[in-house]
Amino acid sequence: MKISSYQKSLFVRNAALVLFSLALVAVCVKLALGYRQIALYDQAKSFYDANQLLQAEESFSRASDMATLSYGDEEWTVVLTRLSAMRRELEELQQKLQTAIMGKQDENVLAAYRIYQTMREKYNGTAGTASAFFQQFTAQINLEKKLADYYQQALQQAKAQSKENLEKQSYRDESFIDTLIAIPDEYYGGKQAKQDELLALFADYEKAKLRALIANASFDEVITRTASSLRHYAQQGVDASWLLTRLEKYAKDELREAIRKQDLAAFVDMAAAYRKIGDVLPTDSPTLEAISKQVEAYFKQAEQLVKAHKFQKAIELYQQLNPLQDISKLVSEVENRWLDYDPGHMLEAKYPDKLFTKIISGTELWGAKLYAFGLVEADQRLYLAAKMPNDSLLYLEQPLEVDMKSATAKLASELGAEKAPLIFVQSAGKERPFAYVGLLPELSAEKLTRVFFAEADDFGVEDREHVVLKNAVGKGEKEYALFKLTRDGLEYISKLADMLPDSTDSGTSEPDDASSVDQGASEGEQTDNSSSSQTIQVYAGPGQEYPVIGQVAKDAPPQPVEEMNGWYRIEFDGKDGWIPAGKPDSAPSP
Amino acid sequence: MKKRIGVQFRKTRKTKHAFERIQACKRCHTYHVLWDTHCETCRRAYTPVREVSAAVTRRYVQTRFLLLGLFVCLAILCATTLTEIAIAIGVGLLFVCLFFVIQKKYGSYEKDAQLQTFFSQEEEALKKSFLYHLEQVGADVKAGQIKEAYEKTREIGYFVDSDTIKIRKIMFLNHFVLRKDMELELETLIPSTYDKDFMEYLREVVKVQPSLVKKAVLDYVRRYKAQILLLENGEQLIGQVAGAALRMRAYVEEYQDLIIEFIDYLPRERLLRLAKMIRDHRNENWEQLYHFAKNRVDTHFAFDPDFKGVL
Repeated sequence: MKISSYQKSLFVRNAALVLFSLALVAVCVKLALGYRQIALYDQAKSFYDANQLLQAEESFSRASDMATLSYGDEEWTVVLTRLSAMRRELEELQQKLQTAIMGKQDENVLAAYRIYQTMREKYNGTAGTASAFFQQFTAQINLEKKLADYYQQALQQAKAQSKENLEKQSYRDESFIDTLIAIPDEYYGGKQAKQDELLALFADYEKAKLRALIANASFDEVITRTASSLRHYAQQGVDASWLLTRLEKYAKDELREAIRKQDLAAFVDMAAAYRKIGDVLPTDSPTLEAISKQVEAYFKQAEQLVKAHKFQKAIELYQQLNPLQDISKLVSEVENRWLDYDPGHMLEAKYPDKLFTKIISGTELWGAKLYAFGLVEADQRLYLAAKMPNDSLLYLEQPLEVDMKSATAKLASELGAEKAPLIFVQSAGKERPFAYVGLLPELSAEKLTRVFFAEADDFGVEDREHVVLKNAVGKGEKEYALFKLTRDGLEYISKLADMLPDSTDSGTSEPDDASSVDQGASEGEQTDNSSSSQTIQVYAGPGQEYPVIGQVAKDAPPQPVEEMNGWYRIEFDGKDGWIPAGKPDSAPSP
Repeated sequence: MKKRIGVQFRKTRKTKHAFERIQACKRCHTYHVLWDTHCETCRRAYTPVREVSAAVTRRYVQTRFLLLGLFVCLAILCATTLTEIAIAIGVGLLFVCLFFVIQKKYGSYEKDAQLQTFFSQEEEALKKSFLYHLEQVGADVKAGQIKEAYEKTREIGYFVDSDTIKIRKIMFLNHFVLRKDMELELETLIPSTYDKDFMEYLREVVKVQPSLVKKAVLDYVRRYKAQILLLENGEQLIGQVAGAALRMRAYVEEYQDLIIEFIDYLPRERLLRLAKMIRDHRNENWEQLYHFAKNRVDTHFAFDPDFKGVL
């Protein structure tokens, strides 16, 4: 809806009227305030002329607060403006002091005191109205008296707390020290008087406190708390060398006593604790020096133990000294020397809970600097440890499916490469008197390979790559047979001689040049072999290392299903079975 | 033949200027040009528009005084010393006095200038008010109150000069029996084009108030003579108009051709007047008129004693 000219003019006129009215009211207020301000200025001037500075400043301040007009002589107003600033500063200081006193904030009270001192020095040094006003105003607000009352009271309370701590032997709250130090010199009667009084007070207090702590607390607590006090005094700028002397003497006596009693653990604990408070001790501390000398003596003792091959004791001594010095390098060195001296320690250190039947050790084989191996009957395993050229230790293990009670392991230095011979394990066999296992450590590949497994009446080494087996299970049965040592096991080469039924007794047909690795074929076993000539063993897999699952008649073998690596697969009791293909007279071609 | 009714028209106000007929309702922001004295919406008395404009002008003057006072107050408020306050008050008072004198001297001129501005600002509201009046006229026509309708249209016609209004008025007037004592209008009803109803009205008016025939009417008749002659008794109508023109010598001189052409249709009384005028102004180049008039008198009124010795 459009407003008519009539209404518009009415609205504009009324708006102008309202604004004018407001402005008029503001003008009236300003004029009234201006009148009042001028009256106050005149009043202040008259007070100032009468040297009544407090009243003059008050009137001037009230007039200034109105801030309506600039009025008065500039020189005179500058003086009174400074007085007003001083008054505000003192009032603010009074407020801060009052708050700090109410809240018992010693630091804030001290800060207020320092500000007051600064102001007092500033204004007392000048002559004229400022100094007179400062004195009149501080007297009016009782600033000095408030400070004096507060500090007198604080001094008495601090002394009382000191006595109470000693009486109760409770040293948790030692805030009185800060309070006493914070109280300004003038309330002690001067700087020197304060120093003397505080030194006497602190010395008595700390002496009694140390005595009580020695009587009741551990060495660690005594030195820790005393060090804490020393730090506190240092922070407050108090010379507490007298307390340090007492602490050194106490610590030295205690350490000496531990050495005398040959209580190494106690010595190490105390020495370590004492070194921890090194920040409060002087660099030439005699106690620290004594500790260092004693530690040096213990290290020499450990070296003597190493020289006497008492490696375990040396390591134990080093480990006891560990809190005082880093002994990891020294222990490592001793460990190396121990291994060099006894490589079998590698296995003992690695498997401390295992019982090795016999540990065989040596040097410079399979690419290792040191080696050791041994059998653990409970685990049915052979364990091997080797120290490699880079000083790292390598541990390998191989499960053995032999009779561990009768098992023995040895290094077959005639078998395999000169620097990589086989580990030969011999034990009682299942089908023959003996079972033989050959193991080859391949340290670069980090594995222990089983090269062969055989059961036979006897085992002889022909050369590094050939062996002779007597009546071996499988090929070579009832023969003296030559086998070649390959990575896949023993490979039948040729028959050297037939084995007579009573060959054990007569000893005929045994090759002369085959050196026997072991003896022990029994008569009963030979009987078994004789009976087995009418049957063929059925194995679970294509090899003699697989378990025997039954027998079939030699003259009526089942039809082979397939051939693999000199073995026939047959059906046996509804399962797969394997028989050797090397039975030309009995096994039919597939 | 249409039946005419006899009516008595409401007296219309006589004003120096047309705008003086406008009245305003201050509350409703509407305008009124009829004869009502109170607003039909709020019942508040109408105020003449000149008074309203004067009030607006007065308020603007008051506003200026107040703004001047406001600036003086601001100057005092901004003053920071006694001297500055004194200067602000002094200069402020001087300005107020000066402004008062100027206002006293030239205020009346401002009122007239403001009136023009006022009408410009209120143009829309005025249009609305006229449209509202025209709607009222339409309602009256529907209700058969032709007299009311004419009177309202007549008042609106003071402000709206259009053929629509004129033709409406003519149509309304043709419903009435015209009398001599009526406040009739003619010149204000002349449309811009030929209108048959206007001719009908002219025929009646010439009969009762021939004095209303003036130069504009004569020009109109001369311009549309051909159309008028096509009307029934068209020649008589032009003859009556020409007879009415004989009231003034100036008309006779200007419309000699019309008078000569329709001299045969002049009533006897108008022909006698013409003859006397020719006799009095024989030497003023009225020869042709004399000739035709003498011919007409000799032919038809040779034995009429009133014409004897006139020409």
